[in-house]
Amino acid sequence: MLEFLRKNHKLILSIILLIALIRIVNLIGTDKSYNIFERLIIDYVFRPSFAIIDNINGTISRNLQVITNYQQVKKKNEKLKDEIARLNYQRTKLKKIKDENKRLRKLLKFKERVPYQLVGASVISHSADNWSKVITINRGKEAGIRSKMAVIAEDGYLIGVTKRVTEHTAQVLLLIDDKFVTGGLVSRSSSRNLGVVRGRKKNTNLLMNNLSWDADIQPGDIIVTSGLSGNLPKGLPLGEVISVSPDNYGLTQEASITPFLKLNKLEEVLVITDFTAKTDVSLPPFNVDSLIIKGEE
Amino acid sequence: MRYFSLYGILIIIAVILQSLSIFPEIFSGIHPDFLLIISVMVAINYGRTVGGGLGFIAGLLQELFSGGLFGVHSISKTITGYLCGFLKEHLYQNHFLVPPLITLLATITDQLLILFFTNVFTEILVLKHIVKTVIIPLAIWNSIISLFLYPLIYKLESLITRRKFW
Repeated sequence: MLEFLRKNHKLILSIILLIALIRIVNLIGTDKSYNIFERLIIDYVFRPSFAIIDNINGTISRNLQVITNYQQVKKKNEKLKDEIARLNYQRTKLKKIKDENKRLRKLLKFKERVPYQLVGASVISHSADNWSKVITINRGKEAGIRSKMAVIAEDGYLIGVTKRVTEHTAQVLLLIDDKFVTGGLVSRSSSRNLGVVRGRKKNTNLLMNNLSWDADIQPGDIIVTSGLSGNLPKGLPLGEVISVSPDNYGLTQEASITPFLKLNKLEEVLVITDFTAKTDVSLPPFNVDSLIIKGEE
Repeated sequence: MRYFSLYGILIIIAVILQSLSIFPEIFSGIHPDFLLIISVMVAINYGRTVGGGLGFIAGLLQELFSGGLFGVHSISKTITGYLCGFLKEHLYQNHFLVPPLITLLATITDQLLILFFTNVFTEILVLKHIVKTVIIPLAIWNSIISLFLYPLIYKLESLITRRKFW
């Protein structure tokens, strides 16, 4: 053993120094973006392969579904046709309401509500290790996506933020990753307490801490983004509180939050590319039926 | 050169497979580390330098699709590949139990090296949880996969060798 150490002392020393260097770099916590070679490898080697696999997977699962559950698919198809008819009717109603709303806002000189600018994307890959929770989507700089943009599901729930972006892909850090941190807000009219929401190593629930000791927060409360960081818009739903407990010997409180979605089953996502100076009417998700004025139907 | 091409292609395929969501569903929430298995095989067949080199490339590619800490996988896989390479002279590689056993040890070494880069050692509860839910299942799954992957790669290699003499 001693002889081995004496023989390879330079190599061992180099490895120790390298480990120390990497540890220091990671302690500083600089966000490393892809370099030119990495971008080229991802865009031109891996992305086409992932796209092919994604297509094959989609085609097989769709066809298998039709073959194995023919009756179910038929029923679903009929149900969807009814749904389309219902949605068309509601769209006409909503258009009417929207026009009226616009007119009234103009009369009252309110700021006009403009929806977020969204880019749709498909998930092409997941983490390649067991230590991080990231996904890669098939849209990148070419679609206007940049680092630290909010990524949401189709129904408006926050999924994560973009991290490293190439020309045609973007890596999304999921909110269940232990490196994910954002400001959270209790979405209840009687309580607007603020805290810090972060992912956990231990499980897929989120942790909301730094809540004041007298914060009014209880199981069942919905937590939304506070928007204080400036990177994420305010009001994106993060999850639901499942338990609250005292922290720091009772000086603060912490809450355990369960996300609304199973983040390992994502297929389609939306990236908010622009939300500055805009307030959105569609997020958090709303019930369309509640917007229809009674008596109009 | 043919060997390098074979292992180059295998590593690219391994990265793609490892990044698919289907495997955690099959392996009870665990992403099997195909890259490590291949690096270990190469190390016990071709020695520490090749093992370390391939481990480094495999780690670099893995880092492209993982959001973890910078340089962690490349350094952990380099060291693991290099250490496995020392066993080349002392093992009878053709015994069917050698690959799973070496893969088991290599996975534990690789994961412990990754742990060194995190702050998990300060949190005993999290450490216990990670050992129980990540390191042990991953080591077991990797060993089982290596039982099938090793003969497959061996066959591919012999196919290439035969073609060389045609």
